[in-house]
Amino acid sequence: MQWLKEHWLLVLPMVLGAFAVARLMPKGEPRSSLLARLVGLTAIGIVGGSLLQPTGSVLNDALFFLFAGVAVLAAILMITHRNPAYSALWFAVVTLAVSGLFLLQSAPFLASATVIVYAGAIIVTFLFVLMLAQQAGTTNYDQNSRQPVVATFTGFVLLGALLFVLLPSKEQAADCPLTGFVSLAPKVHSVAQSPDQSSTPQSTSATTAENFGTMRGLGRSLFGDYLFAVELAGTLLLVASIGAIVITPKRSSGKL
Amino acid sequence: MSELTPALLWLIPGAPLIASVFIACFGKALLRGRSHVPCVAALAVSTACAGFMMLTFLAMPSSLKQDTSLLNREQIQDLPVEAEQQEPKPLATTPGYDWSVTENLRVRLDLQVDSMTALMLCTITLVSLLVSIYASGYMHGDPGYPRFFAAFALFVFSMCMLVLADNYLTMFVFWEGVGLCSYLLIGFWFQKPSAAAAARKAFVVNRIGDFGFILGIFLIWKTFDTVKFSEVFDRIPSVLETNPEVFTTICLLLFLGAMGKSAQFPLHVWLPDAMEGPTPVSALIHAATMVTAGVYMVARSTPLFVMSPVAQMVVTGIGAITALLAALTALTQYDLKRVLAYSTVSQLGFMFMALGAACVSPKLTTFAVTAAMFHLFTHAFFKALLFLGAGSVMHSMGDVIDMRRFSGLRHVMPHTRITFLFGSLALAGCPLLSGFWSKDEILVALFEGTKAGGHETFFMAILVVAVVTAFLTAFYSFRAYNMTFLGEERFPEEAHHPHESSPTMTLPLFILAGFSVVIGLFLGPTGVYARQLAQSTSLPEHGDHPHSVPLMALSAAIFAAGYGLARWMYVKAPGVPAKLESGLKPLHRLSLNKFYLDELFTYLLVIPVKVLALVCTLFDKYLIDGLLNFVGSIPSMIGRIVRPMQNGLVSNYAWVMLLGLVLFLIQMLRAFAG
Amino acid sequence: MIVLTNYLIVGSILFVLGAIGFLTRRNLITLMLSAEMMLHGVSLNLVAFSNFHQNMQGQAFTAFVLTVAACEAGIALALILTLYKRSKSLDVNLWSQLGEADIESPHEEEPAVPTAQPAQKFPQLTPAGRSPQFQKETAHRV
Repeated sequence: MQWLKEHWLLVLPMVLGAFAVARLMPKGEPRSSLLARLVGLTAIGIVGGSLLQPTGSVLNDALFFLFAGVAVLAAILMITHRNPAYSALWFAVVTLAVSGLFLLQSAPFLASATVIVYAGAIIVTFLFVLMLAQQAGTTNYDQNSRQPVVATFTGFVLLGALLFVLLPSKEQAADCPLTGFVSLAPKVHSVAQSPDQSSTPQSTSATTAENFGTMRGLGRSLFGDYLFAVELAGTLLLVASIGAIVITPKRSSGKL
Repeated sequence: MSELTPALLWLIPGAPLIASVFIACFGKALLRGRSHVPCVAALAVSTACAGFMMLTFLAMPSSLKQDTSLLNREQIQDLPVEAEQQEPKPLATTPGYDWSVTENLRVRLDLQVDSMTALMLCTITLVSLLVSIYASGYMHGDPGYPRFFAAFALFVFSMCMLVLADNYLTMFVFWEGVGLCSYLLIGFWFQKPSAAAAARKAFVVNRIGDFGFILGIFLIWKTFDTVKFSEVFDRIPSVLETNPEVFTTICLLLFLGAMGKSAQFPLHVWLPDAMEGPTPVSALIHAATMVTAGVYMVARSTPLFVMSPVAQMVVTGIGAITALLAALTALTQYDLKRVLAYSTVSQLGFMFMALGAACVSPKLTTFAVTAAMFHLFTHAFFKALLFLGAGSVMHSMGDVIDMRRFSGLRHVMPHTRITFLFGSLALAGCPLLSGFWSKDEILVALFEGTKAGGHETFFMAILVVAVVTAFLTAFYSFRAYNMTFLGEERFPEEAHHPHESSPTMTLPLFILAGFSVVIGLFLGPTGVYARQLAQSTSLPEHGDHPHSVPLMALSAAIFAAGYGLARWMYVKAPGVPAKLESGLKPLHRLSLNKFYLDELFTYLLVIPVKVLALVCTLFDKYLIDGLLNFVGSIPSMIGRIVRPMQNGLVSNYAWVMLLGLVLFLIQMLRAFAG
Repeated sequence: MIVLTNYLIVGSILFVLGAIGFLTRRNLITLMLSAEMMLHGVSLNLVAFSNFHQNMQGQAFTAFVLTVAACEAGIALALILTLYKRSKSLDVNLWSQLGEADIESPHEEEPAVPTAQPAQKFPQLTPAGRSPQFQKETAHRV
């Protein structure tokens, strides 16, 4: 009880969110309930509100909340939508929002790459497969999810545990800004205090602060520190493409 | 004279063992038709060693025999000849190794030779050698030729080790080894159901006896704290003070073992059936290796047996019953080998009669045991001879052994006939032949029993039985001889080409015939054998060596009567047996059917045991199995509870993974954040 | 530095929502999309830490995640097509041969819900390279 009183700000949105997601999952009914939508929005609002601690840069904060809210909303819609084609489109929205967040975190290359790879390639391929395989519109198995309550409960217990670590509680907030991590990763805290000497033993000068966030820095890191990994990744892509061609069933009599 | 070295001693059982292993390993691939060569060679080596050892013992003056109680461990070692000449002892031992050491029982595998062992070894190896030579001709062309000689050599090895053992436990091990080898050889033609059944019967009946034997050994161990012969005999006086009743129990248990192995009533039923094995095996079992083990064991345990007159009376009584029953059965059998088998049983009964007479007086002990062992010795030769002769007949008659289907073979098989005649004469107790002397000694021992001790009436009855049996022996042995070799010439249709056997088979016959004729005369009345045996550590000081001329005359008369009756019935007046048969139909049938003992056993033992087995089966099937199945079903029931998780749905597996992650994370948080 | 926490929270929310989607949905395509969304959550995490530490390691890892995701998507789609060819359905519940032989997988076979809107008719192109089969088409439409 005491624990609940202290952490109601964490527990309440979890309960609400779990209820909303479980309720929104397709269960045979043609449309999701309005109540669940409202509850879901409320939960998102509470979490967002608890995070609302201005850093000084209004634009930065506003953009973060915009992208974050869009991403979470779109994610919920994606996993609950009855039509897989719409799910794919909502996933595209999630991707775009995440790209925005990448931009805010000074990763412009990754933002563009994510948009290109996901929204431009993967989702399009998914939609193609969807069109090839599922021409009859929504189906029975799209209308019915499997054990939504159990899965949602488990997922939100996990989320609650994660947020319990991440969300600042009152006494810890007074100690340090990186609240939950103090106990888990004190080293991170010390690094955070002195970001100038943040270079880890493996990193070369290419990844130091002056090059941070630029294409040049990422390129140096990838083709310097991670050259072999990049080569391996390239090989992996090649193998995957060959594998995909091999696995894909042969066309027979003009019809897939 | 060279030394009596441990190697020489070990070579006696070792050579057959090596031969056995060699034949077993390479017989099928390399030796095939030459498989007898290692066996014969090894037995020749054994025979030479045994003979040499015998000579060494003979060279020792008997007056220097030491009291066994003086022999301690330091003295018990093999003695080079120089030492023997200075301080001769009739006991040679050679150290082996610690076979089984426990807290309160230390069993060493040592070899020990005293004069009794030496005489046994000579008999065993010599007869086995001759039989193996014979078998190389007899078994020629058999598909299991290597197997036969491997088992044969192993048989001889086991028997040698049995008599060389210096303690009861080692003796028991090789006692069982002999049983196993007999099983292998009796069931040699295991494709034949009757052979397989006979082998099984021999094995099972022997188990009954062995059960008694091992119980006796346990009791010896418990009473004397040792199983070593010399130590057991040394401790007899102390045990006699504290616990004199235990001797009867020990002796009766040991005698039960001897009854099984030496085919005494009622455990003799396996021996006639053992005819299913190849004839050389019968010769080996009956003459040298198997049935003598029981007699040897009782003779070896004489110091124990003389402490218990009751047990001795039982030995004598059983021996008498066996001798008479077997002789009566042998009267009417038509199977030549079966007649010989029953005669063996009967002769073994004779030996036990004599062994039992050892209790009459301490002075008579040595004489009685000597009589038994001497009969064993002579019997080995003429019984081997008779069996090999029967095998020769069988060989020639196309494996027909029923005496009604052939007769008058004297012209076709002159060599077999003449040797068989000598064998029969020896068995029947013809004066001057070996059987006469040994049987006479037994009769004398029994006769002495009627004069001394407190059991005159009992021994009188036993003596009467012995005389009657001797008469029957003379009669049935010549019945068999007359039916086979005299009369008109007839062959069964299976005999395509009746012929005399090859020299490999007749040579052993002649050698054995020679032994049968002369050995008794040379060793019996001269007292050579008796003197030798009296040096055995198991026997007390040399006692009386009584002779009785009237008894000799009596046995000669008995022989003459039996011989004459057989000749009259089966040669002069061939119609008499049939008339007699119809006149005494119930008696004849009783004898022909072996006194219905097999049937009796079937109803008394086999069927109840089968019923018991059925009950056990049902118990096992329903109660035990039910219990086990119930226990076994518990895990599967638990499994049934969790099995639905394995429903093959990917989402389900993913959910379990996620659940694991959640639990792990929460546990981490509890650990870190408190 | 509060910014880091916020990004991490968004990342974990995306991750958990993806997991829930993966667990509950039955369409293979949706399943794969959910898995990709979990990867998004992880990527966001990496990028946030990269910014927090002011070095490029996190971003480099994100680039690799992107690569692997692309590979995964390609292979997964090929597999989905193969599975579809076998069963003519994208239902993941049909593929339960991994399980115990005699355990019935819980096919919650609800009656098919009639779709809210009537089947939409889209204008169709005639198949290229063949002569149009007007007779059949009209018969079908009527």
